[in-house]
Amino acid sequence: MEYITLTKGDPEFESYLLGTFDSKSRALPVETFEGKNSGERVTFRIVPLDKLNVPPWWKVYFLSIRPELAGLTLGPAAAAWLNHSGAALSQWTRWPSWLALLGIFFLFAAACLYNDYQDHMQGGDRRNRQRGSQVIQKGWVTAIQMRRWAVLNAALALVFGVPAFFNAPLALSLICLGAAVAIFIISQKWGLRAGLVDLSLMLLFGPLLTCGIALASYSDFNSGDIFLGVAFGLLTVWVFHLRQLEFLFRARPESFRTFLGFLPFEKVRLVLVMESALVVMAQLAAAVWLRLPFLFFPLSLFISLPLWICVQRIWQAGSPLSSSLMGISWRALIAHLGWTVWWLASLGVVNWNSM
Amino acid sequence: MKELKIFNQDDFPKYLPKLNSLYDDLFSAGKGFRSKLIQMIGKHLHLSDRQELLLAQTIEFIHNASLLHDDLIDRSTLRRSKPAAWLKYSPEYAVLAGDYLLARVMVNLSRYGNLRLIQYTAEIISDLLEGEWIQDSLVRDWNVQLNQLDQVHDLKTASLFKWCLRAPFIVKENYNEELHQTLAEMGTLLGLLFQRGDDLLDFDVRNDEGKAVLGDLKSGYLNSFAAFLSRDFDEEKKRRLRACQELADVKALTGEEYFNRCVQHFDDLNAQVIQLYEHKARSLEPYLEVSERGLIHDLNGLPSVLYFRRAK
Repeated sequence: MEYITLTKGDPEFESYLLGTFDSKSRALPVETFEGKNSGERVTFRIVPLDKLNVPPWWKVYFLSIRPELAGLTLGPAAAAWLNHSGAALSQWTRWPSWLALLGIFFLFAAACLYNDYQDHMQGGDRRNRQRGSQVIQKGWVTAIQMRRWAVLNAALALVFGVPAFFNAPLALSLICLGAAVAIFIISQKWGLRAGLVDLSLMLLFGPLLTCGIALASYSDFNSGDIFLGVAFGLLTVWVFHLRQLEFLFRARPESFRTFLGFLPFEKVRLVLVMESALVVMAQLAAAVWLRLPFLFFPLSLFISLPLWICVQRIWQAGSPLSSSLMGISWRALIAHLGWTVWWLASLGVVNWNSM
Repeated sequence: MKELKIFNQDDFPKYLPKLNSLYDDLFSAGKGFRSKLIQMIGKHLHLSDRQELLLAQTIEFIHNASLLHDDLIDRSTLRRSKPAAWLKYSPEYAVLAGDYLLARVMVNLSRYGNLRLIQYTAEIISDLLEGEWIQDSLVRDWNVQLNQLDQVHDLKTASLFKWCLRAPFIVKENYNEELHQTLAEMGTLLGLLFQRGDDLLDFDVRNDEGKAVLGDLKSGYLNSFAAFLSRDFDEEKKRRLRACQELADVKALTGEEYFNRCVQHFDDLNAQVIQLYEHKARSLEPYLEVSERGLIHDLNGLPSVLYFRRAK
C-alpha cells in the first residue's frame, strides 16, 4: 500500500486534494492534522483507479446531492407552494411554479455538491469521516469533478429560476438579496457566538424560502407564508443543531456553524431541549394562523413523537461521546420528514376543500 | 539497555515513610515500557544520562500517578498482581500519592528549565485527565463504537506515547514543527495499537502476561475489542454479552468460529494502522541526522511489540 504525506506548503498539495495529480489513480485522504504554523498535513493512500470499484456516475451524483437532506429545502418549498388556498391545485399547470420548484432542486443540489467540494478542500469532511457524502474521500469522484458538477447544477438552477423570477422581479430581487446576505453571514461565520449564523440559517431555510417560492409561483405572498417559513426555519435549524451534536467532542468552537459550539455540554443539552419545545410550538402556532383542519392538531402529537425521542436521547447523554447520541442526525431528519408530511397533508386538505 | 532507577527513595521526603513504602510497591513491579522507549530514542539522539533519567522518571511518574487514580476510580483491587494502593493503604493516600508524583514531575522539569518541555508535559497531563473523565461517561454505555473509543484512547493512552516520542527531541532543542507533527501522529497510532492490544488481553488473546480476563466487561466497560465484537449484535445479544462472567460464556454466545474470525478482522484492521505508522516512521528520515537514523528501524519494531505483544 502506498502512502504520501504532504503539507499545505508543498507545491503538489493542491493537486492531490483536487485529484489532478494523476489520471490513473486517486489519492484517498487517510489522516488530516493541523500544524501550529505549517498548516495542514494530509496523509493520502494512493490507489489505482481500477482497484477502486467506482459506482456509476448517476449513483455517485445521487449520493452527493444528499437525498436525505432534500426535505429540508423541498419540504418548505412544497408547503409554500400549497399554501395559497385554492390556487396551487387549480393552477398546478402554471409553468413558473414547476420551474421554480425545479430551480430550487438544482440550487439545493448545487449547494450540496459545492459544500462537499469545499469541505474536502478545507478539511472538515477529511477530519470527520461521518460528515458529508464522503464520495470524494472514497475516491469515487475527484474534487475538481465535484466542483464542475456544482457549477453545472448552479447553471441549471439559474436556467429554471430566471423565468420564475419574472413573476415578481422586484420583490424576488429583495428576497435574493436577503438570501445572499444570509449565505454570506453563514459562510463567513459572522456573529457566530451571538447566534447570527443560526438566525441566518433560520431565515434562509424559512421565511426567505417560503416567501420566495410563493412570489415565484404566484407573484404574491401572505402572512401565512411567513408563519410557515418561521415554523420550517426553526425546525431546520433544530435538525442542523442535532446534526452538529455528534461532532462536539473536542472540536474548536469556530469549526462549527452554530453558537452551540461555545457552550458547555450541559448547557447544549438544555438549549436543545428548550429549542425542541419551541419548534413544536412554532408548528402549532403556524397551523392555528393558517386555520388548518382540527383533525391535524391531535395528529401532531403522533407526528412530534420522533422529536421527543430525540429529546430523550439528548437528555440521556452523559457526554458528547455517549452512544445515545449515535444516529441522532438521522432521527432528526425523520422528525423533520414527519412534520413535512403533516404540513403537506394538511395544506393539501385545505386546498382540496377550497377548490 | 542499562537499568534506570526510576524511583529513588532519596528523592522523596524521608519523613513520609508510608509514601515511600507505597511507591516502593508501585514501582517495583511495572514493566517500565515507556521509560524503555525513552531510553531507546535517547540512545539514538545521544542524550546525556541526566536527560535520559529526567525523561524516564517524568513519564513513569505520570503513568503511575494515573494508575493510582485509575485503580481507585475503577475500584480495581489488583495492580500488577498485588493489592491496589487504595486498598492496601487508603483511598486518601492513593489520591495524595498520585498528586505528589505529578507535583514531582513539575518540580523536576522546572529545575531542568526547558520551558517548552514543561509546557508540553502539562498539556499531556491535561489530555490524560480529560481522557479519564470522558471515559467515565462511557461506563455502562453498551452501544459505544470503536471510533468513539479511539477518541478517548487518543487522550488517555496515546498522549503518553506522543510524549515519549517528542520529549527527547524537545530536550535536544530540536523544535522542527513537521518533525514534531509526524512524531505526534505516530504517537497517536502507537497509543491506539497499544490500547487495542491491551483490550484483546481482556479476551485472553495473546495474553502471555496473564492479565485478568473480562475485567473491563465485568466493570461495565465495553473496550475496543468488545465494541468490535458486538458491533452487529442486537439488544438481546448485547444484554447477554454483558452478563458473561467467563470467556467461555462469551464464546458460547458468539460461537468459537465467529469469535476467532472477529479477532482476525480486528488484526487486519490494525495491520492497516501499522502500515500507516511505518509510512510515518519512514518519513522521519529528512529530519534526522545521519547518526540518528537508526531510530527509524527501532521505531518500526514497536507496533508488533505493542499490538501483537511480541517480545522485542
